[in-house]
Amino acid sequence: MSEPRPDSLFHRPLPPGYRDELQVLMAPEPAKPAPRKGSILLFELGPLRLALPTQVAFAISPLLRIAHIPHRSGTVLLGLVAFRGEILPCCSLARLLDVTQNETGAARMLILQESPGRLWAAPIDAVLGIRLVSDDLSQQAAPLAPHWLAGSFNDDSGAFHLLDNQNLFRQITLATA
Amino acid sequence: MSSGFEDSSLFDLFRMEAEEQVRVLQTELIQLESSAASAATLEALMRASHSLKGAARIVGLDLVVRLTHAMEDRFVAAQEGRVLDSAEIDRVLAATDWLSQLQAVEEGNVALWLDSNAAGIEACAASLHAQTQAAEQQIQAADSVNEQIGEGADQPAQLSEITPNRSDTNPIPRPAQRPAAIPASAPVAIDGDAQSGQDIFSQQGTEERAARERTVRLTADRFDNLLSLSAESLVSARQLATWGEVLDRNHRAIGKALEMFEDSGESGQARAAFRGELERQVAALATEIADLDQVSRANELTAERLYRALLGGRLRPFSEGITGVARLVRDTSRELGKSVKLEITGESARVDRDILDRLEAPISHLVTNAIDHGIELPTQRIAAGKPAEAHLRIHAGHENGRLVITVRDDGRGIDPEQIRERIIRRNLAPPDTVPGLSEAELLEFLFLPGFSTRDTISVLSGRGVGLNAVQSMVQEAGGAVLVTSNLGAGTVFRLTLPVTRSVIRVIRVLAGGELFSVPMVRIDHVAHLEPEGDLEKPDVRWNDRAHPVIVLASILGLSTQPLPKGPLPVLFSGGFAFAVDRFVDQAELSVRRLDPRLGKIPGVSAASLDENGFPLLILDMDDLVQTAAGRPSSSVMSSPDGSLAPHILVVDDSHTVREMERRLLVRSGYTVSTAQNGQEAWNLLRLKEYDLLISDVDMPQMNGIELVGRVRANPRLARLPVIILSYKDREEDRRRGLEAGADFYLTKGSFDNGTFLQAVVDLIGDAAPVPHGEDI
Repeated sequence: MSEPRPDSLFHRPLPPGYRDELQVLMAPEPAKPAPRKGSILLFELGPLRLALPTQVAFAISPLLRIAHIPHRSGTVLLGLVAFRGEILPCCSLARLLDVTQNETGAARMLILQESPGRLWAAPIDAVLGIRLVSDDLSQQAAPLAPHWLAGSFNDDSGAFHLLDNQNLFRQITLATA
Repeated sequence: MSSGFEDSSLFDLFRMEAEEQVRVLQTELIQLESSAASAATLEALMRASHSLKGAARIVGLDLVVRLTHAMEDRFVAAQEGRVLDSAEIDRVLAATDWLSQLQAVEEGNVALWLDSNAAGIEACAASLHAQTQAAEQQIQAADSVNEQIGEGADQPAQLSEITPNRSDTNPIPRPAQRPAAIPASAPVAIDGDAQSGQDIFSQQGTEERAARERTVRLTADRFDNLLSLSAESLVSARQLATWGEVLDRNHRAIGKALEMFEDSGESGQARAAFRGELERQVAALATEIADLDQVSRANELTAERLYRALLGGRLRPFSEGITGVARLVRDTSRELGKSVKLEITGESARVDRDILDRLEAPISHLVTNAIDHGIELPTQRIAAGKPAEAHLRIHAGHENGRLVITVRDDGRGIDPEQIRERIIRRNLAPPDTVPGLSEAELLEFLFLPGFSTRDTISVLSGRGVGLNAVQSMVQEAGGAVLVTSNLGAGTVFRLTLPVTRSVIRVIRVLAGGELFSVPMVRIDHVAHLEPEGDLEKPDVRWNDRAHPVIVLASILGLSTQPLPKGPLPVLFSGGFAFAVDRFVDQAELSVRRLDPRLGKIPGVSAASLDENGFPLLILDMDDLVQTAAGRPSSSVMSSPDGSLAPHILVVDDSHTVREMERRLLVRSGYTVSTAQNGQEAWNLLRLKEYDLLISDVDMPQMNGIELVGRVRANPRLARLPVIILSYKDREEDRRRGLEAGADFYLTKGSFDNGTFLQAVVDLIGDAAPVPHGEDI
């Protein structure tokens, strides 16, 4: 296929399908599907009280020793950890979500399962419990950008924010590649 | 019971069958040519082609069925007395070449490959059929002659009338020497002429093999053994698990005894009871510890046996790594008009399949070199008082836990004076030092890139890439190569390789506060030495040579601390002295591949777990030496970060616009990364260093205005130049963009290449443009 000359890029008519593509992308974002009924893990990350479906929260372990990776320090990828005989990449949810406060306070390691055999480790501050997915997820104001969240809910101890796990894994992959 | 092949596709299974049967076919055909056809040889050939035909039929490779059927027919004819001559053996070997090529084709490309090569394969099958028919006619004609003779004919039949045309000048339809890579998107016509000059030692075949899913074949016996060992291991592990309860019981009992002691007061009877109880518990504890020790030892032994058995499954006989060598010797010597007898010994020496996969290319290279460079023509050999037939010997064996392979010829050897002359001519060493170089030092020059002792370049050698490539390949496999020569008597190449790559010996070092392991095979020497010379470029002396000091933590990007004063622990590798915080110890580690999600990490080759179960990185010393030498390392070359050109991040949700911007900028010499929306761009900006951000405005997830706002609010990124490029062309849009922090606001509607590139140049300066016509 012949390639359009670059000097005519924006002088020529729009490429075929561009308007449609733009329209689709600019259309209001469809409402996120309601999370399936099931259980969620509640945890603390710095000042944030977050939740993730237990189907992706594979395990909780004591804090694991991180082998830092040359040339990757200061990024979302913290290094490698050993979990049950496997070497896993360990990423900082705090850096990914821009939680700048108290990054060193992490006390536990959350093992996330993106898909079978594809695990990530992420330090968190505390596990606060497990509960059923709330029916009354709301889009209430949260200290995180909306695209990170599937919704928020309140319990006796205050507000929790359920992370959109699909977007979370997509962004972890992007930020650690 | 599991076959172990559940994960293999039918084509994988065919491929395994083909590998085995092609090996049989090629070995037996060479055997057939060098000696009289034995019934056993012909039987083996016929069976191999028959098995292949069956396997091809199962996977629906009709073209291969026809080819193998033709081969089988010819072998059946041979069994009936119609022998194969050398030209016919060439044709059958050509047929096996097609099968070898097919093995290297990725499953998804098989149909395409068959379509591209159908004519060649059909022609090969047809030529075999013609061969079979000609052989049958020959027999019939011979029978007719016999009949005539039997009938007392006066004139003998003219043999020329009944002998099939053996000197058939039709070219044998054979594939290119190495399979051509077939891209998924478009068929590639393999041009025989173009391929003939291809370097037969190119990495292509290796890459294709590597790209295929890796499978390991296990015999049923070995599999049973592994199952049994893993069952033993499971039982041992469960036994260990119960020890926790046993010790806990003991702990509680001792606690109870202590309570008794506290309650006993001054009562002598109570104290005696306490002492008795404590002694019982201590005795019980001693017994349990002894039992635990026994179980632990048994556990360790089982784990060791399991590991050895698994490792054994990876070890293959050396002969499997050099299956093509006999054929290569035959073809090359014939082509060059030389007479060479190949002798291979130590074929059963066991080698890790990873090493084995890397052996054939360097050995083939050395064999070709030996025949082309070293071995003389028969007339020259006779004139030199040698037998006309040269002797080429390949031997494999284990020495001190290493695999040692020697390739020895009895040719003319290497002339040290000729090397001296080349060194001076190519200005590789000062002319006054060259006469003083020892023979061993001179021979080291043979491994330099581009060094050749040949004046003329042939298809086979003379380009000076050979021995350098051999050395690289052997080093890549974790080994070393040494050459010795005796002028007039021959040359010996000695390759020393690890038997396995799954376990390596390392030195553990601390660098920048982190623990790393360095493979022993990559370390020339270790010492504590005080750096000398220029503070900016210190060096240390070892082996009468100054070695530049490289701070390992610094080259790994972990620290920028200056060198401390006094003697430093240094590792010598590749001409450099790598300074570390301290040497920790030596260890044997099992090697694990790095998680592919991480990509190639500069300076790191693999990972492992230490004895405490902690992760440990294994350093890639070749990569570090390349970096230290200021050459782009393999890992950096593939990364946009390694380029010196300014690095621009282009963010646009339209693939078309994004791609066009990228091409325009790359043509102007910039390095470009792209992101589809603001969030992706934000992640990349935090991960890597960029010189310029060019962003659209309307994008899902995070729009361009929000992105620019975040950039300006981030201390590290606040000064990053930003161009906004948007379809929004109203004044308020422009103002909004500039207020958010953009340096330029350009509109797509009135876009002009020159203005756009000028804005880029204004912000980050020029870059060297990509030469016209270069693929981007």
